[in-house]
Amino acid sequence: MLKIADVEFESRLFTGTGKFSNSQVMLEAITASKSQLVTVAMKRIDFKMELDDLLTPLRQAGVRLLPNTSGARNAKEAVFAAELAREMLGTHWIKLEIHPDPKYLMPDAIETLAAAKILCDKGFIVMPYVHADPVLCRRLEEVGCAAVMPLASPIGSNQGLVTESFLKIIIEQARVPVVIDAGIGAPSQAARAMELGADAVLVNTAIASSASPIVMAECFKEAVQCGRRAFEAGLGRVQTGAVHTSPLTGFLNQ
Amino acid sequence: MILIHINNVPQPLTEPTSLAAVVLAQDIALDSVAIVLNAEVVPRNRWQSILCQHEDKLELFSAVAGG
Repeated sequence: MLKIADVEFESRLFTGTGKFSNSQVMLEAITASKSQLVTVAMKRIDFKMELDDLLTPLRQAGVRLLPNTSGARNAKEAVFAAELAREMLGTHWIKLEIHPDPKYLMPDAIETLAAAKILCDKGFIVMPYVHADPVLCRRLEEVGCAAVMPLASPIGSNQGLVTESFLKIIIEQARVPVVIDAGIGAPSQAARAMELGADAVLVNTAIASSASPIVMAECFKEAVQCGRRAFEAGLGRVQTGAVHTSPLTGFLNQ
Repeated sequence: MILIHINNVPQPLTEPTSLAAVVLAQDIALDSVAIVLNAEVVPRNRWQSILCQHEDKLELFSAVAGG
């Protein structure tokens, strides 16, 4: 079973709460996905807008909340966001994400490592969103991160496992769980990530933006389970040439 | 009179008021917010005991959907 810090997860599919058409659909999709770890963001309250009660239904659903630091532009702001999340939600878990570039939302490796060190020292369970950089993932592990979350492709892009070669290296080297995050756009891509040996995947856009988010959530649940079972069963070696599966004896001539 | 600012909106208080009471007066559930007082995140266990001072700047944050 997947274990992050001291918490065990039956489901290896983590989900986000963004981009759903409404909170009822979000809740039904999360329930259908069987996800047990769900991300939320934080925002300064705007009193001109009606407050959307996101937390009550999520708490009722019994999922563990993983607040993120989205919006933080540097390590200092990310630490501030993590402290906000801890007081708001009563959790030490934090998805550390620092991506100041608005076009590609590429994570800032230098600020992320600096923030991870501070947050780990403060006792947070830190899950950093990073580029698929094997060296950075090792460094994050060394400062005490509970997991690493390398990207498959840009957030919300549905491009799939663009970084596959590097994800393989990260998975091979990691001594903490590897959660492949961002850009997974289809259940087949989630299955592929799991076949590579990822410990979990985080999917948001592909479920939330589907015409049928609840059905898509089920598809991702099944794909992740299938991919994991295939990994555990052991995939065959990829070879250049053909390797026969039937006897090659020319029986017609014998 | 004590004048505080909540997310940049001026808010007069007629009597010493705790941070927790200020939040509740906004019709906001205490378990759904974080409070920043003069740029410092306030630990939840101090929300009842800290009384607002004149010219305090409060910022309230809530959870929103995100990935």
